[in-house]
Amino acid sequence: MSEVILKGRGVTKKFGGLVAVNSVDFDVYEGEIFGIIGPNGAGKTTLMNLIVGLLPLSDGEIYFRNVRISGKKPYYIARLGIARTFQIVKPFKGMTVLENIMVGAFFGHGNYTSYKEAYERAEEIANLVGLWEKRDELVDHLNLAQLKRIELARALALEPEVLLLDEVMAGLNPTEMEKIMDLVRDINKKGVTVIMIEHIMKAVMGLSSRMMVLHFGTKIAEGTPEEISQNEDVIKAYLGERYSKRRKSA
Amino acid sequence: MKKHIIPLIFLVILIIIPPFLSGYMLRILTAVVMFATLTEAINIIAGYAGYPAFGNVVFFGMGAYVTAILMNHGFGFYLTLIPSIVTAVLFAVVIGFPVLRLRGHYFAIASLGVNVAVMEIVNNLKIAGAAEGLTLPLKKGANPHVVYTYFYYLFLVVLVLSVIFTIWLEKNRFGFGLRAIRVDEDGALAMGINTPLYKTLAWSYSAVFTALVGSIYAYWISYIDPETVFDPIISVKMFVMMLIGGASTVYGPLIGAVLLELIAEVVWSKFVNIHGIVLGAIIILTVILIPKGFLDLFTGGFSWRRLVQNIKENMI
Ligand SMILES: Nc1ncnc2c1ncn2[C@@H]1O[C@H](COP(=O)(O)OP(=O)(O)OP(=O)(O)O)[C@@H](O)[C@H]1O
Ligand SMILES: [Mg+2]
Repeated sequence: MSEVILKGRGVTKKFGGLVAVNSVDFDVYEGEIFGIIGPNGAGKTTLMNLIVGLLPLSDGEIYFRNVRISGKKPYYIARLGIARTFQIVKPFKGMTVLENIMVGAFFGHGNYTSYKEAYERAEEIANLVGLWEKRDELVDHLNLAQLKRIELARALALEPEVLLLDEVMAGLNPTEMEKIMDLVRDINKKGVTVIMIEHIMKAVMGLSSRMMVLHFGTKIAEGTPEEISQNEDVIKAYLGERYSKRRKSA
Repeated sequence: MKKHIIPLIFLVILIIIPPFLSGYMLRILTAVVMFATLTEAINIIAGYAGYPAFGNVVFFGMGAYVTAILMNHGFGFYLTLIPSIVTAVLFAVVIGFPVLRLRGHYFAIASLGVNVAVMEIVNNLKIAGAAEGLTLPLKKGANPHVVYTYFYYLFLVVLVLSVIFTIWLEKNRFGFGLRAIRVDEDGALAMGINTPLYKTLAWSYSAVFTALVGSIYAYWISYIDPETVFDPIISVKMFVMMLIGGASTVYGPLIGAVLLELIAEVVWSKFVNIHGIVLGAIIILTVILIPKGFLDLFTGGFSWRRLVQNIKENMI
């Protein structure tokens, strides 16, 4: 088995009395696609914010390779090679598609310092994520599917070793989803470790090598997609709840 | 390159024009150039980085006072410029560290508070002449026109420097960092941008140009007091000029400065009694009708549809 690239031990986040992430341990191996699922409010996004340093941990530690990153600044963590997308998209409005991607190229792991270098790198990435036609348009005019691609493109421009995706498929139609899934697979093939948060089970199950399930901030299961889909706790906490909901609404 | 040709032509005109101007016209043009520079400077922090520095005039006053105090102690004018810049930058860094953590309105208010506090301190500072202010040595010259032309050129040099800086900023990673910060600071952090450092740098650069202008102003006017050089109205003016010209653009602030100074001059002479109201109305109308500023109107072409769209977008 390959090396552990991202490791969490006892990772905890409290918001006042609410324990959003409760002493979660995790190991992500280099080169894999690691899925994180869980019902609404399970603490998935919070965990991601803890990893990239946008929120301070209440307790626990996070390591990237052997470097402790918990307690470090987000820009430091990003430059180390950990990039993320935002569930609620955060495009840099007033800038074009290429300019948005250039921000990533300028400040990322790849260190493209000149305008020309960053521009050319951004063109490559725009092409890769299927935003070539839109490259000179202001992001203000894009639709959600395109904005999700912007999120992805900017994160890629950082040239990360670990890419964290927070529901990049939510709100997309099946064709768009297929395309993004292919894209994620390609990115992973190039050696980028991917951590994927999704609500849409099919997407995570199809892509992940291993996954973990969060429920009320606690890790309730971990394993291969098959193991997860047969896990009693998971069915109860996550699948069960949704199936019963679906049955009721039907 | 193409978009710099018209400004270059204007620059040539600005360079050769002084001998053809009356003393009155030269004074107005000097004020325009001065405000254009102040506006270009506030544009760095308020336009590009999106931090509404309502107290930016504090650097103007500091520059003015450092030059005044040093010249009163026998320093030549040019020798006072480096201390003027250094003081302003140190202040921007030390004050920026806590204040730039505040966002939006809170930062605006805090920076205004800092300005008022510094004004009060200077008001009580013996070495700065306290509330009476300071008189500076007069610039000597063959005749007044020569002296005023000299100051005009000094301001013009700083203006050109600030424009060159902004052009560089537009195409530079530093500028991209600032623009990202303006839109979304968490997004910027996640993109690897050291936002505290970048904000402090942006305010420092803004402080450099503002302080330089303050230094020249003090020598030009040759008498300063706290009420004048720390006047918050000057900050407001910079802001309005930036907004009506076009924030976070290279030339918008210059257009804003020209328009507002000229409009103010005309309004002042035509509506002596109600000039404040007329000026205020003009400002409100421009901000509603062309929120992106006049530069956008020139470069984007005029259309009624856009005007209507702008009005709609600005209604709450
Ligand atoms: N900044 C915050 N302050 C207070 N509570 C928060 C904050 N952020 C998240 N929470 C709470 O923490 C819990 C976990 O939220 P989180 O956004 O991590 O869930 P999630 O698993 O990403 O959910 P979803 O699937 O809806 O995106 C929720 O109860 C949420 O209300
Ligand atoms: Mg979430």
